[in-house]
Amino acid sequence: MERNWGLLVVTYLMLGGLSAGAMVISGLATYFGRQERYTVLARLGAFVAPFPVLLGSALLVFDLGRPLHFWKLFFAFEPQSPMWVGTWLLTLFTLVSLAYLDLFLPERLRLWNPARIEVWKNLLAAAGLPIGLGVGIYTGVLLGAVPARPFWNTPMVAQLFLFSALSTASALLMILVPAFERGAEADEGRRLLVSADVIFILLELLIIVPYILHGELSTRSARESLLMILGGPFTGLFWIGVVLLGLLVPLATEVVELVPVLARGRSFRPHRTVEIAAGLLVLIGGFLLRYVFVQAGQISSFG
Amino acid sequence: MSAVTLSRRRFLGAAGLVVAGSATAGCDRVRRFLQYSPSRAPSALVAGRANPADLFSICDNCVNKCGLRARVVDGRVVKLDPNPYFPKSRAMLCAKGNAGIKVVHDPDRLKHPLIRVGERGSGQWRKASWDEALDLVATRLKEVREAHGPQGVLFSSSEGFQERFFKTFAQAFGSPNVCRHPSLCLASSNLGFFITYGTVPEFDIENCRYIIMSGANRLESFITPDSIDLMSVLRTKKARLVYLDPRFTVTASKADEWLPIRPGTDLAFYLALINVLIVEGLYDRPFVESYTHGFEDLASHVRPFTPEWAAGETDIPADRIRSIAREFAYYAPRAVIYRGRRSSWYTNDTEMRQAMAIANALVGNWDRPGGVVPKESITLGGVELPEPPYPEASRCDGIEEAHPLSRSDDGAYLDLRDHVLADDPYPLRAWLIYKQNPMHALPDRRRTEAMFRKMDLVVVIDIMPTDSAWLADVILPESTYLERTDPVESFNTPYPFVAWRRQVVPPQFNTRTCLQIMQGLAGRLDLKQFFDYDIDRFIAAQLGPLGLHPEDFNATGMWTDQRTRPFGSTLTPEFRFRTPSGKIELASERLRRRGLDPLPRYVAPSRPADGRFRLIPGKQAWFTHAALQNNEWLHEICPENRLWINREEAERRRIAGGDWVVVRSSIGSVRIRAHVTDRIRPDCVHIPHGFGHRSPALRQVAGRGASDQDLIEPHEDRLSGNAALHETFVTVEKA
Amino acid sequence: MSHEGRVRTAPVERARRYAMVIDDRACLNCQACVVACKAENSVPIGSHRNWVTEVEKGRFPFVSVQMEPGQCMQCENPPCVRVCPTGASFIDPDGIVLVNAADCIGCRYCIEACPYGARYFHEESGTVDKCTFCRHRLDQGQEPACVVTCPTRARIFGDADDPDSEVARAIARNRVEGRKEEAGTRPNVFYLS
Ligand SMILES: Nc1nc2c(c(=O)[nH]1)N[C@H]1C(S)=C(S)[C@@H](COP(=O)(O)OP(=O)(O)OC[C@H]3O[C@@H](n4cnc5c(=O)[nH]c(N)nc54)[C@H](O)[C@@H]3O)O[C@H]1N2
Ligand SMILES: Nc1nc2c(c(=O)[nH]1)N[C@H]1C(S)=C(S)[C@@H](COP(=O)(O)OP(=O)(O)OC[C@H]3O[C@@H](n4cnc5c(=O)[nH]c(N)nc54)[C@H](O)[C@@H]3O)O[C@H]1N2
Ligand code: SF4
Ligand code: SF4
Ligand code: SF4
Ligand code: SF4
Ligand code: SF4
Ligand SMILES: [Mo]
Repeated sequence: MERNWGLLVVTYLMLGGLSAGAMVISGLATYFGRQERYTVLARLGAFVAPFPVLLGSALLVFDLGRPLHFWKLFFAFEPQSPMWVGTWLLTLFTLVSLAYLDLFLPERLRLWNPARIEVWKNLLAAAGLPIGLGVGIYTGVLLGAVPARPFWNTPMVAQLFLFSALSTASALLMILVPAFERGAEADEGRRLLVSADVIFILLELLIIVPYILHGELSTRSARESLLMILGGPFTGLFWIGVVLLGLLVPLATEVVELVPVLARGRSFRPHRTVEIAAGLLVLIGGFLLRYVFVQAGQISSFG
Repeated sequence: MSAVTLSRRRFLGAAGLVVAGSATAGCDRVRRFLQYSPSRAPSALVAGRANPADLFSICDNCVNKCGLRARVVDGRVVKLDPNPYFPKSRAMLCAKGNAGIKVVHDPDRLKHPLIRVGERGSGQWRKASWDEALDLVATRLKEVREAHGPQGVLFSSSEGFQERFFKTFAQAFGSPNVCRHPSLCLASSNLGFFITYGTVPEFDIENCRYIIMSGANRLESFITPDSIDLMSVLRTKKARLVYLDPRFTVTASKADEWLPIRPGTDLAFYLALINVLIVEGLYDRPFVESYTHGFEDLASHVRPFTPEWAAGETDIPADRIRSIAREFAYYAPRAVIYRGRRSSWYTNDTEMRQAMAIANALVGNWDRPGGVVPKESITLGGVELPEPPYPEASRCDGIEEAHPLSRSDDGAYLDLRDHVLADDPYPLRAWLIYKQNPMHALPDRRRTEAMFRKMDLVVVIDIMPTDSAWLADVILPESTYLERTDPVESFNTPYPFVAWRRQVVPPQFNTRTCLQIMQGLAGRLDLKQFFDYDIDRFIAAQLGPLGLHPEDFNATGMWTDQRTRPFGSTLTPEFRFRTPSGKIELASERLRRRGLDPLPRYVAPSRPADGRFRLIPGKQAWFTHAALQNNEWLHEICPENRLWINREEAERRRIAGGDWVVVRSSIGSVRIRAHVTDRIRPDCVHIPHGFGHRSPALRQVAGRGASDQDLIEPHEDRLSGNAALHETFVTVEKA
Repeated sequence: MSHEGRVRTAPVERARRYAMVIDDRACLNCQACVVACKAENSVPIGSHRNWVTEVEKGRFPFVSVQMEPGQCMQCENPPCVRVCPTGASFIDPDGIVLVNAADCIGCRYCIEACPYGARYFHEESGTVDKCTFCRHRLDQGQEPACVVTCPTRARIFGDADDPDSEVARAIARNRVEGRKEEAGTRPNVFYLS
């Protein structure tokens, strides 16, 4: 059955998350990291950040009933509407991330070449970081702010989507780093990504548990809506697709990768296949997570 | 209020400038505001208020003829609303009435005359002009008349304001073979009440306080104003409703008491009720003494029919029957046993209705507020033309001999079909059908189809390409009710008034009214003299004696000089009821004279053999019989019918809701989906009537659901000749 | 003051508060109101501004049937309006929640936000539509299409702020309740309880 919100919205939420995550990772790397291993991440993150969201926004506009009227979003003042806030957030994000990207380009390609480029990088990273977090949260708030859909209507959804955004972005970078960056510094960067992803996945798992507990202890409609993933149409997809393949399996492989480093203090030796496999699983899992939420939420009803 | 409006106006004025000036965020809001400025809304809503340009007319999507107002824009009907001044329908239009626009604009409707070119039933037609089509029909009618006499032509029709022209034509043509819908519908009920009261009465539900109904599904099968009044007295708790039906219908759901009676045993219930009324002395003794005849016969007749006996027949506990009888008597005369409308149920249906009539008479509710009331109506004038001579030949269906008490001019449809198929006593070779769909109205479609195939000429006058039209040789499309003006009609409920259906839009396609079609044929058959008028003259002649003119209907769409139901005109010692004894007959002298039992005789219905069910039909609120299923707005509500089967019986057969099942009777089988429900007794199943259309020209609904008429055996009520549609047993298996 | 056209919640200054009282026990599920609305408002096949469901309960012979007529509740605190990013959804001064099609971009967020499933996407216009309480009929002094046609008068309509109106009296005289009031929507469509 064709639901109100379909795959385009799912994809949009996924892409928004990827951009947000990439920006946050890059921003953190720029802001805190002086060593080259951080610069690798900052650079790649900056290169990635603007594009998924641009594509996503295009999809969203295309998904509108009247795409040519999208500009109305900008000629309204509706601060209580998550979508209106999100629209401005995304716009701001796109501008900041593009400017930020510009600064990482080789000099001859730069459109804007400020005198004190490192300061500007830091400034934009400082701005991009909260905006990126905002976008990551927004993808969840868009759903979470809807009281009519008990499946969505908990603060956990925003957190879940944020951590998933960070995790999927780490995964994407994990896959991309070796294609663009070589050497020991790059390897270190890759270690950082794997470690970060382990943390993000753990955080996601830590949220799914209270999400379910919260729902179970909540109103009847919330409890009933959870049946969607606890013995309903989306159970298999959620537990096998999202939790097992999207979270537990990549988590396990990543931990195995890190064990020699952590336990025996060895230097990190990345395995390309592991990176790609775990990364892809995380990405697919992230997509499925959004798919399950968007679809199941629309079936769940209040009261 | 005015200050508010003023300040708002001022604000609007200022805002208008902003709109013109710039495209800011505020401007959209201002536009919204302008669009819905409250100053445009008048201060008060008026219930039923209409646009003065709206036209009054009358719905024709079922027998009820509710008053409507039509909004017409650029020559198209865009909205139908109820006419609040119309006494009969009070202020309602049902879903079908609201869907009338789609009757005019059904993409599948008949738009021009069609002449069959392929085999009968092949669906190959060619468009024809009216002249060509009418010439053809007239020529073929002459051929049949030459070969078989005028009685060789059958005229069948169902009710409608223009049906009179069709009947006049039949009479002018000289055929006695006119067959109408009553013998599929209410002939037995009419007869049961007629032999008791000498008339067929109405029921004053509005003022009633206690109502007993047997399978009169008033809150789904609408009869106005009864349906409206019933819900109104129920919700205000002015009346109690005891409802007997093997099925928990919507009416049952609003009743104070639902009695899931064993199908076919209502007569036992009423005999026991009469027994209690008499044994306990609850009847209205003075009334019975002055106005009735045959009490002693009745009293001795019902002696054996105790509530205990009836409990075994009906499944209704004896003490319930007893207390219902007491309550009925307690609330009398504002208490009725409602007669229902469709009574094409069982082979002894007339006796059942007779028992209802008798029980009513016993409590003295006759012609009193809240009781059983005689019909009264306003007498209209008419055009002064020669009345065609009454046809010489006797009727083919033999109704005078087989059912002498029934109204012979309406015919007995199932007898007729048998006689036609057997060429007995003479052959019928042409069939004109007006506003009727015999392929769905009659039980056993195979036999009906055979009847079609017996004919050299079948002409169908309809608005839709029905299954019957599909088997015709010539299809003549009538203009729909919103496209034509019909004669004035004299209504009798809730009180006498007159109204007429007036054209709302001109015919949208190449269609004609029944009158025009009959005139076209009459002209070609030298019968012009019987139709020497047009509709306007006809109406003027009808209104003349009342001193009325068509314009007098402009304000309310109806006319009357009364405001309430008249009561009591028959409650004088001199009044003679039109019965042999001149009184209300508790024992029918009409029956006795024919050598029949003057009192209702109970014959226990056979019970379904193992694993079988009794099949009971009935209607849905969204369709009329086998009509309107193709209407897209109604189709959306219910795209197909389903077999109602008791949940436990279904579980035993591993049938789940929505599963396909095969239903078989002695005459055929159908495939249909199951509706598994606790709302029906385990010994019967129900198929809503009107689906299983075969005509592919009904593109929306062809092939959806199933027709009960592929299963129902052609039994009939002994006395009236009414069809007995509830006498069929079926098996149900998972498909 | 100058913002009242874009009222988010109950506006300070209201001309009226149009409301409906539905007696669901008098409802027959005859669907007259549904078809009337379809005709009055050119609602496309497959979409609905109002609906009636029939719920069966119990075991034979102890059964009951409940009719539930539904439509937009014309909430005082409408989540659909809150989430609308363009301001196309708004409350008019008579308390009716409307969509200004000119401003609607068809994001369908409001459809998700409505706890009653009262809104639908109109494929042809690309915008969202819903029950307007037949605003255009009110402007002519006519009651809504679904109200006038109902065979049992199960729907009573009028200005709840006018103590003399039938609807205000129905609210005052009976115990009425809104549906899903826990959602904080403060419906203006009431049901007899
Ligand atoms: N199994 C079963 N059989 C039944 C019944 C049942 O409940 N179950 N009900 C019985 C009852 S009560 C009755 S009254 C009969 C009814 O039997 P019919 O009178 O045959 O009933 P309808 O199906 O309403 O057919 C009316 C026809 O008139 C056409 N029509 C509508 N408007 C116009 C118009 O303006 N002009 C013309 N020319 N045609 C028009 C419609 O398209 C339709 O084909 O059926 C009986 N048969
Ligand atoms: N919506 C709608 N309204 C209509 C019509 C329509 O087609 N559609 N048709 C009009 C016409 S012409 C007519 S005649 C009337 C018909 O209206 P009704 O006289 O109400 O007839 P049905 O709708 O056929 O319903 C018959 C009921 O009898 C029940 N029944 C079956 N067997 C028994 C039994 O043995 N005992 C008892 N007590 N009940 C039993 C069935 O379950 C069913 O509910 O409706 C009129 N109004
Ligand atoms: S009951 Fe419905 S279909 Fe019949 S006349 Fe009235 S509005 Fe028309
Ligand atoms: S019109 Fe009235 S009775 Fe019929 S379904 Fe609607 S609310 Fe119920
Ligand atoms: S019912 Fe739904 S659409 Fe109507 S006002 Fe309330 S939230 Fe909005
Ligand atoms: S679909 Fe239209 S009315 Fe609904 S939230 Fe989007 S812009 Fe507002
Ligand atoms: S008030 Fe008007 S728009 Fe709303 S449901 Fe009724 S008919 Fe439809
Ligand atoms: Mo009938």
